[in-house]
Amino acid sequence: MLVTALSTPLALQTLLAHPALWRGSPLANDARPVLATGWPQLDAVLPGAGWPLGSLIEVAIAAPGSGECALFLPALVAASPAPMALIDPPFLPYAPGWQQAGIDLSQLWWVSVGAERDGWWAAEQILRSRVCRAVLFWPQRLTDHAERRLQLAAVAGGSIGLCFRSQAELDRPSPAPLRLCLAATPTHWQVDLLKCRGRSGGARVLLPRSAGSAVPTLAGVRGDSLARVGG
Amino acid sequence: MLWLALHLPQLALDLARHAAPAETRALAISAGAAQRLWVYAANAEARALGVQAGQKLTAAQAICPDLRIVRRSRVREHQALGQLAACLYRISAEVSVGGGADDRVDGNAAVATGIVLEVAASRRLFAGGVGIVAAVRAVLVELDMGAQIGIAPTPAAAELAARFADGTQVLSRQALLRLLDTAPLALAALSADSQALLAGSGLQRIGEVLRLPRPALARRIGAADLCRLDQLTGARADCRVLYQPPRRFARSLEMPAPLTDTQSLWFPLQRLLRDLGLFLAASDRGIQQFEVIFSHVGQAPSRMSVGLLQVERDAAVLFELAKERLARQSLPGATLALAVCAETLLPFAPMQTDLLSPSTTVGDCPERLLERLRARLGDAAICGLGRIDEHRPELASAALAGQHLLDQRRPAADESMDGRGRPRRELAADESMDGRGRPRRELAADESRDGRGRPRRELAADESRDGRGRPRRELAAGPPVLSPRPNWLLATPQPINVDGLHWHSGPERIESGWWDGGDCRRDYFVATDSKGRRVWVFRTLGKGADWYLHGVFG
Repeated sequence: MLVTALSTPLALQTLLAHPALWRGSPLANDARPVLATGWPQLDAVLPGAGWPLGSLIEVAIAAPGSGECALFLPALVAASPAPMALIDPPFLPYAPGWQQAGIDLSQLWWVSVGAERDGWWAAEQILRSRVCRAVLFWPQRLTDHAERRLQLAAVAGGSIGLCFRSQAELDRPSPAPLRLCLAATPTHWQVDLLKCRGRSGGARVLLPRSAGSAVPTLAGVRGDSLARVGG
Repeated sequence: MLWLALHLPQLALDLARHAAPAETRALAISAGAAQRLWVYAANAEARALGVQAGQKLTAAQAICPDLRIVRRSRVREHQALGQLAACLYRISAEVSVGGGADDRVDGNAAVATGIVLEVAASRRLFAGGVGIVAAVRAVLVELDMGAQIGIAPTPAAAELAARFADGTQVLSRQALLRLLDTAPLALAALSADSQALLAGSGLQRIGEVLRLPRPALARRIGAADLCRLDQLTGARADCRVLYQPPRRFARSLEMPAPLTDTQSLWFPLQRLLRDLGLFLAASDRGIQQFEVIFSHVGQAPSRMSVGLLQVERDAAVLFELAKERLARQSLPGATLALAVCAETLLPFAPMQTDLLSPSTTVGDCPERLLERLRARLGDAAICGLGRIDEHRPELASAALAGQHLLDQRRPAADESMDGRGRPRRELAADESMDGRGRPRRELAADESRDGRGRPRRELAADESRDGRGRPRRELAAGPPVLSPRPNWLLATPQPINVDGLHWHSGPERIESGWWDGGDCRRDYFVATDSKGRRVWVFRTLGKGADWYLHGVFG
């Protein structure tokens, strides 16, 4: 059966185009839907040239607020006006800042939870619901089981689940298909691809930080009235 | 017009059976004055022993010493009929409780109160009379009541048909006259005097009475009885008081034993909410708030209020939300009884979904998701974000109650529908995103009705407060602030050592609030800290200049 299928070039092409087949080369054909990152350097190394939709993305950060939103904001602004949820953010979300970044404030859900289980539950519910395009989640702690549930919920909902973890938990295996480590240098964001579908990982990308603002593509996105902000 | 009548000769027995389902003894329902009690009805076991309706109670007790006696309660019968009428209201909009003739003939067990409903209008919906009768019987099974059904062109004749035999259907005037020819005179429910007079004259069938010369008949029986006969044949109009569904819902359930575990309350709660769902569907209403009341031993009852963002009537959704609230509710003791109350019934418009659009499963809609989140996490857990025109940074951002997340999701079509020429204040965030040059709906819910003409939903929290309980301020209408603002703010500024900071921009002087006591004089700077984070720090002006971390660009 397999032999006959391979005997014709056409069948071979269809087989090679199958997303589940890993061909050993980086960035092999991946037909999964993605959301362009807004960073050309990052698009070049990610399979499908963007953040994978319907997937959990785990980002290891040194401390809350060290650029995890700046990394994803260009993609989230482009995905607007779909709602996005902030679950248990480390600080108070500040409306003028989000607005400057180009986020439609009416599409921003701010979910504060008490118990850690409630946070997992809320993240899963929102991911699964197909209502929000992205969920930004800062869990205090995340068990392997809970993280697997989040991944399944993201697959079911077709949304992006962003899970921001401390770098101390990098050694732990994770069910998230995409794992990044984000570090901030004075001039750049340094993104290490720890685990990635379709390639072996280990890539390092340096993204330029703009001088005045958190969001590098701000001027391009919001027109000239804001260009001065972007500096 | 076609009327369906329900005759419930067993109602008192049914109610006694519902009250004690485990009881298998012979049962008699007593009625009459305390000194002269008589048997109103008896169940099959009692009848087998010789107890008959109309007997003196003492005689019945002599025949059957083990007889269980329950006093007839008109009030409870009336309540049961009301419940039955509420269920039948699903089948027909014209439901009338009470046979009319029963109160006069209290001694006659054959004439019990019944219900009539008009069914001609519903015939197509239920695919013919057979379908309607099946639907009515399903209701009777659901409520566990026995009844005889009759169908006839007039309400009085339908009642007669129901009393004549279960399932009697009289669909034409000729058939009605044939039925009256054969029906015994007692079924006409005339006054006792008239009946005795007519029976004494040798008349046994209603048809025979109708064939008597009318002037002669009118002289001998009263005007009321003549009217009654005319109503039977349809010669005179028979106006009935129609059942009106109640304007509130309240039902309670007593537990067989005190329950301490909240999970064991799920089942009775689900049953009550199912009743509520049926009630709402029958009265074509929805609710936005309901209350669950738990009665305890020796303690004040505890109450649990469940508020909804939108008008609902689906029992499954209501139960799901109540279950989540119940998990967070702490009860002071064991629960003896459970009650569910819904005071305000609102018009309900079912959510319209497009037949052909791809993603419209129920779980998808933002309203249901927000309800679920609010039910489990609390009303204040889900907030929106709004910008306020205010120089002091900590006051320039506001948490908005979850309600606004829905209000802003309204499609633009709503606005064109509620155009009332009222100047509407605008929301800054929307201007650039709207892209149509049309001012978007303002956030503060000042209109009493929304675009679809439904009353605006009540907010559980005070309207003038934001999602975190602070007084609401006017939301900003202008373009975004031009100076750099962080997306994260610290709840209270933290003192910071500025030695390790790498400076980017500043100072930006913010000096405001001297008039309302919240005086603020600061110079803000953007800098990078030792961890590489871009931070927003300020220096207080005046004596003892201190440095504080106020926000993070992250």
